[in-house]
Amino acid sequence: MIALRLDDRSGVAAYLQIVQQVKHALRLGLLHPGDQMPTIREVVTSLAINPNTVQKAYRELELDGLIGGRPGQGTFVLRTIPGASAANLAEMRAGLDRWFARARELDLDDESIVALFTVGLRANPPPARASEDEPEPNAAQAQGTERVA
Amino acid sequence: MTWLTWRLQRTEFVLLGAMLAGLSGLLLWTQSDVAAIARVTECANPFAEPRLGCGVDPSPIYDLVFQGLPWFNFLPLIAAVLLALPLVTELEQGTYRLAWTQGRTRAAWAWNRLGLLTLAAVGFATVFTVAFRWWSGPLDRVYGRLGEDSYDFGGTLPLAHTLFAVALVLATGVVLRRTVPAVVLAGVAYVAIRIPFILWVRPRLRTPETIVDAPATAGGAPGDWQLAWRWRDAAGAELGPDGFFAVCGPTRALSPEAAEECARSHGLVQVLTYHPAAHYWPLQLTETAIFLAGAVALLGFAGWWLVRRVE
Amino acid sequence: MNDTHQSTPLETRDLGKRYGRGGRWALRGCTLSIPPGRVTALIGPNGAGKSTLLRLAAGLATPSHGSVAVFGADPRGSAAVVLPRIGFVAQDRPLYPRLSVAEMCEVGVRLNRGWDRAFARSRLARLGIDPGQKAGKLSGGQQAQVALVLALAKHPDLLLLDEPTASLDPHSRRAFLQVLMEASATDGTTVVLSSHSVPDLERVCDRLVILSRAQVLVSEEIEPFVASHRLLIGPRTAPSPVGQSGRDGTVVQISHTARQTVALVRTGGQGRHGGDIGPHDARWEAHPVGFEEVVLGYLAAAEPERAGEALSAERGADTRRERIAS
Repeated sequence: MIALRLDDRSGVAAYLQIVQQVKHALRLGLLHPGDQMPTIREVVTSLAINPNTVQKAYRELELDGLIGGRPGQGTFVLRTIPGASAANLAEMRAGLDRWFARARELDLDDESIVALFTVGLRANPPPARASEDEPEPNAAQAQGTERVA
Repeated sequence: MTWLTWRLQRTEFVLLGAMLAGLSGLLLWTQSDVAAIARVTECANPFAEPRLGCGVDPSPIYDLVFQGLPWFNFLPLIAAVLLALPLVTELEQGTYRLAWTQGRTRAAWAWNRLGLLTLAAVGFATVFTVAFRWWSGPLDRVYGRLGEDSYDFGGTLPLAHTLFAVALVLATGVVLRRTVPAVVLAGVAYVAIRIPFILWVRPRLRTPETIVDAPATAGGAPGDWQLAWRWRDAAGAELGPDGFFAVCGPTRALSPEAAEECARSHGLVQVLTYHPAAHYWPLQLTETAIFLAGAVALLGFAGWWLVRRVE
Repeated sequence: MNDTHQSTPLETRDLGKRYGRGGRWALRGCTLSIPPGRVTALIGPNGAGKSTLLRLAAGLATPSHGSVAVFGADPRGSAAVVLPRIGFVAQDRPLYPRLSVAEMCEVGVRLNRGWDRAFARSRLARLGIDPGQKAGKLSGGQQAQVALVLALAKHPDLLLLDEPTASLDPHSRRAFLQVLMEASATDGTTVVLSSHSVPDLERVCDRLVILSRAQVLVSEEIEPFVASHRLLIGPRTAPSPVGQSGRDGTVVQISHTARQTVALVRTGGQGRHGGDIGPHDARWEAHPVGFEEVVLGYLAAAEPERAGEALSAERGADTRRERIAS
C-alpha cells in the first residue's frame, strides 16, 4: 500500500499531487501490478481532503491505464510506467552522474543547474498522448515568470 | 423530550423539592406549638398576635416561623425562578440552537417544556398548600382563614400566585434572554403587582358587608376580615375611629356600659365594614381567576415569543 | 418551487436578513444554489453574514426578504420535514455543558428518529473520548469532534457547520476534517462550512462562496475559479492591464507602490492553465495565484480597510485601491 501526502504550499493542485505520487511510486518500483490501491475513503480520511479530489486523481490514473477497479474488490495497479526498468534507470543515473561531474568542473552552482534542467525539460516535452485536455503542471510549477507575448 | 427537560432541570427540581421538604420539616416541628396556642383562646384578644395568649410559651422555632410568615409570600417567586431559570439559561448560552436543530420542531419543544414547568409549578403549590393547611388548621378554626397570616397560603391562591410568578419569569426571560436581568425584572414586577393588589384590589373583589350600630366593644365575629370601622353621628356624618374619643373621652376610662350609654345619648352609631368568613371562597376564587388569567396570558406570550421571535 | 428543486440541498433567492426594523442588514441579496454532494466553503470576515446564512438555512431565523429552501422546502415553515434531513453545528456552545457525552448521545436518540447510536459510539471510541466525561470539561477540539459526530449520526443529507474549527489547534483541526471528509466520502453528504481558516478550506472544499458586508461576492467551483486568476505585476506608469474592451478579463483588486502596480485579474474565460492569459501588454508579468491570495484579493477589494495583506510585493508603500469594472 502506498502512503500519500499533500503539500499545501507546493502550488500544485491536490489531485495532481496524488497522480504524481502514484506515478512516482510506480517508476521507483514501490508499486507493482496487482497491488491494491487504497480506497478513496481511506485516502480521504488520512489526508482530510475532498473526496472529489481523490476521485479525479483516480480517474486520471485510470485513463492512463495505470489502475483499474474490480467491482466489489477494490482498485488495483494494472501496469507499471513503461521505460522504467531497473537497467534503464541505472543507465540514466550513470549519465546524470557524468553530467553533474562536468557541471561542477565548470563551477556551476545549484541554481544554474536547476535552471538549465528546467529549460531543458520544457524544450523536450514528452511525445503526444492519447488523452485530450492533458493538464500541464508547468504553469503552476514555473519558477520564473511568463512574459506576455 | 421529557427526559431532556428532566435532565436539564434536574438540579433545580431537586432544590425545589429540598425547599419543600425543609419547609414541611419546620411546619412539622412547630405543629405542637400551633395546637397549644389554638387551645388557649379565651385568654387572648382575638385580634392580637396569638403568642400573647396566656400561659403558652411557644418554642423559638415557632417564633421564627411565625415572624417569617410574610416572607412565605416570596415562595412562589423562588419556585418560579428555580423552574424557569434553566430555560432562560439555555437562551442566554445558545444551547437552544442544538435542541431546535434535531428532529423535533421548536413548537413541540416549547409545548413540552412549558407544559412540564407548569405541571411542576402546580405540584409545588399543591404540596405547599396542603402542608400549610394542615399546620395552620387549629389556628384557622379559631381565628378564621381571612387573616393575613393564612389567607395567602390557603385555598387556591398559592397555585395562582406560583403559576403567575413562573409565567412572569418566563416572559421576561424569553424576551431578555439574560438570566440576571430577567429574574430581577420579574421579581420587581411580582412585588409591584402583588402588594398593591393586596392593599387596594383584594378588599374590593366583593362587596363587603356593613353593620350599623354594632355593639361597642365587638367588631364582628373572630373569623371576619375587618376593613373599616367608623363612628357616625346623628346627622349621618362619618367621624372616624377617633370620633368617639372626641365626644366621650378615652374608652379605657369608661366601662363598657358607660361607653354604650354615652354613645346612645349622643346619637353615635358604629359602622363596621367587613368581609364575613363566608366570603372566603368567593374572594379566593376571584383573585385566583385574575392571577390565573394573567399567568395564561404571560405563558401564551412566552410560548409565542419562543416559537416566533427567538432566532 | 418546481420539483427539481427538491434535490437541491440549499437554494436561496434574493435572501436578506435584518435584525430589528431599521437595523443593519446582516445578509442581503443573497442568491445561490448549492448542488448536492459538494463541500462548500463560506468565507468572509466577521459580520459578513456567514452565520446568518447558516441559521436561515437551518430554520433558526426567518428571512426579512427573499426566500430560502432546503430540498425545496421552507426550513422554518416545514421544519418537521426539513429538520430530519439536516445537521447543524453551532459556532459556540454546540453541546450542553452539564451533560456527559453519553447523555448527549441520549439527546440525539430521543430527539431524532433513526439516530445512529452505534455509529456515534464507534466514532467517539475511535477518537478516544470518554463517554462519561461532562461535555463542558472537554477540550475545544474534543467538543468540536463530539458536536460533529452527533450531527453525523443523524446521517443528514445537508450538513451546516458554523466556524467549526475556529478555536482549534492545527492537530485538532486536521482530526476534525478527517472525520468530516470520511463522512462526505461515505454518505455523499452535502456540506456547507464557514471558516476563517483559508488553507484548510482549499483541500476540503470544492465550492467557494465569498461573503463580504452581507453580500455574496463569489459563488463558484474552486478549482476553475482559482485557475482563471492571475497576478499581474507591471510598472506604475503602464495603462490598465485589461484594456478597454473588457474581453481580456476583469481586475478584481489593484494596488500601487511607488514604482509598481499589482493587479489581481480574472481572465476572460480563457487561460485555464497558462498560455493565453488575456492582457497583451509586454510590460506586465503574469504569475499564477494560489487560493488564499485570490480570496484575500476579493475581500480586500470589497473591504479595503480590513484587508489582511496588501497584494503588492512591497509593504508600507502607499497604496491606492481601485475596483475597475471592465
